[in-house]
Amino acid sequence: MTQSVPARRFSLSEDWLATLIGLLIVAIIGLGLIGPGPQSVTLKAKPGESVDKTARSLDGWKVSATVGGEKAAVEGAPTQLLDAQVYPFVCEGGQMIAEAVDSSLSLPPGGTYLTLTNNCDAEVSLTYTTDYAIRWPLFGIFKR
Amino acid sequence: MTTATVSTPAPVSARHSWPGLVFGLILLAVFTILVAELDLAIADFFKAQGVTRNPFEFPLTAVIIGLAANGLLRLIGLYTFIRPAVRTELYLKIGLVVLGARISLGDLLATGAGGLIQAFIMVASVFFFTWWLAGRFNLAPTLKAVMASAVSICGVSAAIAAAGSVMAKKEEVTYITALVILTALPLMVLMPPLADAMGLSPVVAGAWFGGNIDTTAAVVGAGTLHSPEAQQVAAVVKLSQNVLIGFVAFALALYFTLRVERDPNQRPSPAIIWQRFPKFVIGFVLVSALASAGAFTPELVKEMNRAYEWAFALAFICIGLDFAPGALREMGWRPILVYLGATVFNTVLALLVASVIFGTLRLGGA
Repeated sequence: MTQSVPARRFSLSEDWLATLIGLLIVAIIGLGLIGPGPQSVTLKAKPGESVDKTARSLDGWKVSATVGGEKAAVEGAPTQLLDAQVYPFVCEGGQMIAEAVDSSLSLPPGGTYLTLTNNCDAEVSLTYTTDYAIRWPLFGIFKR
Repeated sequence: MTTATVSTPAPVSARHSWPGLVFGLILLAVFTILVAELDLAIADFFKAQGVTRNPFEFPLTAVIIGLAANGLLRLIGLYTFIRPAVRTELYLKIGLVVLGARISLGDLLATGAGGLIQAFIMVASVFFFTWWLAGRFNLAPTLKAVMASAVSICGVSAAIAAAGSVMAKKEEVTYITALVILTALPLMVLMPPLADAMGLSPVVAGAWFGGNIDTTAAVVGAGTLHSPEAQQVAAVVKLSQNVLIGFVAFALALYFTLRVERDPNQRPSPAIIWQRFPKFVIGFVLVSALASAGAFTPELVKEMNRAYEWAFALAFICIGLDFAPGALREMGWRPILVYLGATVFNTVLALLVASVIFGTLRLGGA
């Protein structure tokens, strides 16, 4: 008479399971599969100064600015930055203005370029930021 | 050979219920969002009062939500159903693996070396003190072993490992689990302001939390409440302590076989050291090594911070959900007195040892 042998069940200890899930999360985020992480680019210019910086070509940027330490709106600021484009900003008469993109400029791909020219009397700053892919909180349902 | 394992306090039948697991996970996700929202609202409230640093950070909010949910779910009879999703240790270990990305290998080795020295002193002193005190109160040898391991090493994980080595009763593990949570929660809340009041540096404060608080989740919680640097040191110091579980489990199995059961034909295998080794530490070190080698941009590390915040929030909520006050009534006051006495001894000794190793001698990268 043959005895039935109980089928072997594969089981993973809690430690190994936690290690695998943790490494999977690190791999997913580390390989950039959910995005490049929260970005922040800040340009600061003293009166009469011009500065520039590179940023990642991404959509969903949030723009903020200060003129003389006070918050200022940026008229016409693009929230999508395209690769190899130059995005000029200028401070005129105490106001921050996004000027038209100069597509005639030939720039190497792999980033987007922000320039800031300060024709105002006070120091100005321009900040471009993107959010985390993982939200804390996830939805912000109670806050908004 | 006495290497039988004791399962986690969740009933075995409950641990394999898929509907309960899925429903429980959904419920935990809802609680986590609630914690996150409350955390923002509380931070806004303090900001409006002119307090820039939120003194009521998310670990505390999460534990309170967990405790409230615990009572409510027991009241409406859903507690056992969702129990398969309540996996404090699992969520915590996942978070710790991801946390590795924030700690450079150099810091890890420096803090880990100091942490290991502290761990040897603390585990040996606190274990034997608790063992002695429990003997004075005539506690059962198995309860003594489980309690001494829980207080001296890392709370629930150590209690389970020790229980497997000495064939402790399941009720003893459930009881110790309740005691661990009952003492860890006030320590998690009180130790950060106490550290500030005593003027401890974040490194010494973190080493104190890591050396004293029994459960790893509450250690991380106390570190989070104090400062990012304290959180980092507390986690590494606690992990250094965790790696000693296997050695203690093996020594206990050997002692119980030869001295308590007096059966020379059954000798525990040293393989128990590896069996009980917290393997997630390997993942933690691996991620730390990858981060140190420049595998991740600073922005990606920030994204990983969000991921471990979620994992830790789940763990903190589960601490509240894990608490079983009923278990405390079953064994009377004597074990509670022993546990509290051992905790006081642990707190004072950990402060002394952390101050010397991480403060005076600066062996932990301070």
